[in-house]
Amino acid sequence: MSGPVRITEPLLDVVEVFLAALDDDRELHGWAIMRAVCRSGPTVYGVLDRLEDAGWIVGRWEDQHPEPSKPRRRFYRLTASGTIAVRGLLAERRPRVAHRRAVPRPGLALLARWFAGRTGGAVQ
Amino acid sequence: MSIKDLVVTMLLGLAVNECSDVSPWLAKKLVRWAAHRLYPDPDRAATRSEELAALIDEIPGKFLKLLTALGFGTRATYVAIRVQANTCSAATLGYLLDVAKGLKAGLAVVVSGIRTIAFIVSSACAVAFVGLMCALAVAAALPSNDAVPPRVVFVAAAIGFFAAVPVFVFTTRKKLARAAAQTAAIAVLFAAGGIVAAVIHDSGLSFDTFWGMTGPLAFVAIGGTGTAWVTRRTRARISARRMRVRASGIVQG
Repeated sequence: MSGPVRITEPLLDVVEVFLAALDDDRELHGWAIMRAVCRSGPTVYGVLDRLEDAGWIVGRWEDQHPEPSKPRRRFYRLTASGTIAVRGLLAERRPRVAHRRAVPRPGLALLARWFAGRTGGAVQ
Repeated sequence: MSIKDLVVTMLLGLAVNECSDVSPWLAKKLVRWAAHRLYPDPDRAATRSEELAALIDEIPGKFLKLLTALGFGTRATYVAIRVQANTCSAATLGYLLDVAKGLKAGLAVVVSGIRTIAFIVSSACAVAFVGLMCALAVAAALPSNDAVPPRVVFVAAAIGFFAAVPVFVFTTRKKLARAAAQTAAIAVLFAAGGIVAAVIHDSGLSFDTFWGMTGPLAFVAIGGTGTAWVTRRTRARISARRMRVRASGIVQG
């Protein structure tokens, strides 16, 4: 099992979303990831390919789409080794993301950073 | 309108309707084709083919479905050309790669343009709607219509500000939070402009003087926001490119 060949911004975005989903005990399908990272389908699926090849994520088909007329979707989640690797990667590249438990509100985070800057205190 | 014009209009309407109905089907065909070009392993190609068809079903809007499928199609074409590289002459290969790169760049420009137009149109519609509602409310409330325009600007800006703040605080999406922050900032600018304009108006200055003083401020505000937006996007792209270069350097190292 080897790590992803290339560490890029889209890959960091996607693993960040996976880590947030892990904290919320959720699995993600392709469209949910595309919406979360605001990137195109080929970019997201290119990243998913690399993560799957590296054994960081694993996919499974859902039994039945909630809407009967729609085809089943494929859901992804981080593997145990993937979680460790992703946390390490984000700690190195995006330290603020790696240390938080859930997805914070970006607006609140911005306000908190601004407030911490004003008071000289740490935000956590 | 003559009968000929009527028939042509109806036929055009039908053609557009049919095309939009066909686009999801075409999108699914395209992603299935792309999956088999992108993945040499048959099992993986079959999995991705089904998955991408389900993805197209999940995406809202017929046009967005087709656009996403075109993205996969372009990438598959690019990969297919690279796979065929050994059988082509250098000149043909270079030409084909140039064509593929051109297609990819063209698609990126189209997507970027659509996003920008959508942002501008949606913002303009939202502002127009709020402005219209406020204009009606203020016009109904004020005894005289003389001072309505500057006060409408102020009330619309205040409503825009108070609508943007909850979005900024509660959204979990970075881009939405940023857009809400920008909306709130612009609303504050316009509110200030509205107050100043109302004061100028109430002091008895003429309409021309009023616009002469507030017009440049509005242009500067809009120009500044636009420039900031373009600059930030450019900086983000440069930063992403640097990161890619650094990452490839690490891999090679």
